[in-house]
Amino acid sequence: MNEVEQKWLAQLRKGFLEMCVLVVLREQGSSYGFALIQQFQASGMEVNEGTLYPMLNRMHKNGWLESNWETPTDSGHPRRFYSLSKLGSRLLPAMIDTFRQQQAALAYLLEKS
Amino acid sequence: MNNEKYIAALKQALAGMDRASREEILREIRSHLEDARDTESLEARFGPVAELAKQYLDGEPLSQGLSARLLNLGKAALLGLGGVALALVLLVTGLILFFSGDRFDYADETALAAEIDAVEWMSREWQGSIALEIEQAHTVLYWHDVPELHWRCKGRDILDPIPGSLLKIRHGYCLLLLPRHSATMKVSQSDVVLIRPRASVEASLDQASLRIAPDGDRNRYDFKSINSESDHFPSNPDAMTVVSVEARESTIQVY
Repeated sequence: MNEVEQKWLAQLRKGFLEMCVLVVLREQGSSYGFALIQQFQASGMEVNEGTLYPMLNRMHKNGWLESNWETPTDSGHPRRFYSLSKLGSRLLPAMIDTFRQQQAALAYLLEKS
Repeated sequence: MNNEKYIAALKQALAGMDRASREEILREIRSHLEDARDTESLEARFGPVAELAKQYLDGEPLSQGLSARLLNLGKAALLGLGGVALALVLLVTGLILFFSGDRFDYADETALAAEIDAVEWMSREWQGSIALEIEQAHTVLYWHDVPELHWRCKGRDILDPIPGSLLKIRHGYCLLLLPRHSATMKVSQSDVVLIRPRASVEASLDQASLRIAPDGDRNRYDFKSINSESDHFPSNPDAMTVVSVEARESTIQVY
């Protein structure tokens, strides 16, 4: 795969992964980086730390996520927990709608061709 | 590269970021290490330091160096001083305008009740036309139905008028109540206000300001201007009362 193809795929995955982060956080209320990676990997997605953590940081800066440091009682070290902000909550339905429309359009085009 | 060196190198690579954000990123990576508890290095999980730093810095506003911060501080201080200076200038200008400005609404009939430093009203019976010579003075003229000229002036050179002769106003400030006789005015370097002219006026202006409060459509206006500016007045061509002005380097405005 050449550099142009890699860049295109990276951009496609980036938007998709951001949407997946919002979906998981909406369902779970809050979560942290390591747990998110495990969940994504369990679902079959290839996500590495070097992609996810900067992405969480950027989504937080964009105001889509809120974060706070918590130390769960069953574990001795603090973790940065993320949750959806109001902006993120509003954004997610629009993202899912757009994704579904594109998915349907692609399915239609593939079927016709 | 061991994990501590990796974190130190990342810290160095994120030096352009603000300190709080950078420390939070490093703390989160250390927290991840605690969770992972495996032998795989940070470099293997997160990739090369430069690449990870690039991901974090993507779209991140870089923090400024000391010199840039000092420069911005200087700019802010100058802007602040400029703002204070501007506010002072505006305040002083406002005060000057307030204390020196013409705060008198001459078009208001109650203006007649105004005091000019307790100067008494003077009056003369008057027949025939009226001639005024106004030089470096401020004069406001009204008309009334009484055959008398009333005046109330303050100034150095106000000459007591004798019927049939000139009323000279120099270096003064006057309110005049004119009988309904035609008037001629020679105005030089003065500010004159005509309130609803009820008799014809023939004025010659030289470097003067004439303001007229129109009397509805009861006046006809005839202006001849040389290097002068005049507003548009509601002139009635059939009106018997004519305001005729020859202006040189003067302004004629609606009051």
